[in-house]
Amino acid sequence: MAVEITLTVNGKPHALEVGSTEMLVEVLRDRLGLVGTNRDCAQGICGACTVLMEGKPVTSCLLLAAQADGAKITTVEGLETGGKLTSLQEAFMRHGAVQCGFCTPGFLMTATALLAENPKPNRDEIRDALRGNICRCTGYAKIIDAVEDAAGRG
Amino acid sequence: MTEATSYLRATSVDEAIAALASQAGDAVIVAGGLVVGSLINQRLASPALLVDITRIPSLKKIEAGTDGGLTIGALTTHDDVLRSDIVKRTVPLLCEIAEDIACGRLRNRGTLGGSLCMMGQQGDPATGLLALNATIRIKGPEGSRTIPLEAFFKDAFELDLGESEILEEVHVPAAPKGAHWAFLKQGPRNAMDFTLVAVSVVARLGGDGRIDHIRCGMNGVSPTAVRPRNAEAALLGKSPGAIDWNAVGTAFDSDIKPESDLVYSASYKARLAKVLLRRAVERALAGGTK
Repeated sequence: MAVEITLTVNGKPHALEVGSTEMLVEVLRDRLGLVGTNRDCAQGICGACTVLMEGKPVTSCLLLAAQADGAKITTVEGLETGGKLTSLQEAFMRHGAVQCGFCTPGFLMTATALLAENPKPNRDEIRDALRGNICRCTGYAKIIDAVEDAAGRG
Repeated sequence: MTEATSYLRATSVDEAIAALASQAGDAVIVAGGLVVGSLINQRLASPALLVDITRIPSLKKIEAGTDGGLTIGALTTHDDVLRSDIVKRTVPLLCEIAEDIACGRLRNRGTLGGSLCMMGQQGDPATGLLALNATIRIKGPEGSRTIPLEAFFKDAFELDLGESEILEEVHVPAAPKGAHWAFLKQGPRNAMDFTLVAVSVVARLGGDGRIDHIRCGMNGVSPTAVRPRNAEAALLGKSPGAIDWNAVGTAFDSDIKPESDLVYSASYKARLAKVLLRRAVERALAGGTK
């Protein structure tokens, strides 16, 4: 069954016809071409598909696109403005917080939401906020360093 | 499958109930979508109808009751619970449980009702709600009914919930005056794994220094979330310094028998459960977690 929805993704409105069991991550990647959001475990475990819905991190592989009707979605492509990266993204580069890069969009979205709510988190708070994102290269220390640095400069 | 499954965005509980009734058992309620979404992705579920209840405002509420208790709508997310001043004030045990559920992105979508209706193993809030003697209100084609949460969990994959019924809300009565609480859990990784064993305890010492109220809720040790009734009975009336923990353990073993799974043996789970139960009881009797 097709379901008509509207979405505002990274500030841009879209009117779409989605399948009843189609997940938001599929709509973002396959229909809107926003392939920065990664689909991996499809069970809510890994966090690679994390996007912001109304500013809050959600697991886009488990969210029916139909359920997101009318929502404001931010993906990793929506972080930069006019080619200028956020201080968080700059810090990820500075600290080498990216290894294979597959988990990076999810980490960036989770950390973006953290810094929006708590601009000066301590290391434990950062660790706790990021606990739902898996980096299989195990580069956690540099990721935490980067978020801490971005918070310091923010 | 996309073709075969219909989707309805219900705007009222009655509309959702009528939709469930129209599909004679082949409809699935979807709220936060964590369980249903995962089943769809694994091709383990392809219902004829998905009934989306997330746009039913009456299911999303947290209200203080006149009895000092609390009513929480089924659609309330774990994040809502965690951030609620009312919950913090009236039943802080539920905030403590919510704080340790999975991770932010899952707490933002996962609902209290969904965690109670999970088949196989109920989530951690069930342990606290059992310890707090919660009741639930269920609505179906014949009207509403209120039952103790304990009666809701019938057996593995079996809830006291008809095919056309919806869990509407949870009522938590005020804890006995002077009672303290504690929650402990153990699992592989809190952020993304199911809890192995969790325990909630609500306990009180009477004027004579003996336990005059004790109620516990546990998950991971039984086909459903459960109260270790015999262990509770073995603790009632004891003073904290004179508890015979071997006897409590024997009592625990007499009605709670965990089953082995692919990773953990039954004996390991039973031992872990008894250790966590002891620590939680001692913590509650010492004044609680805070």
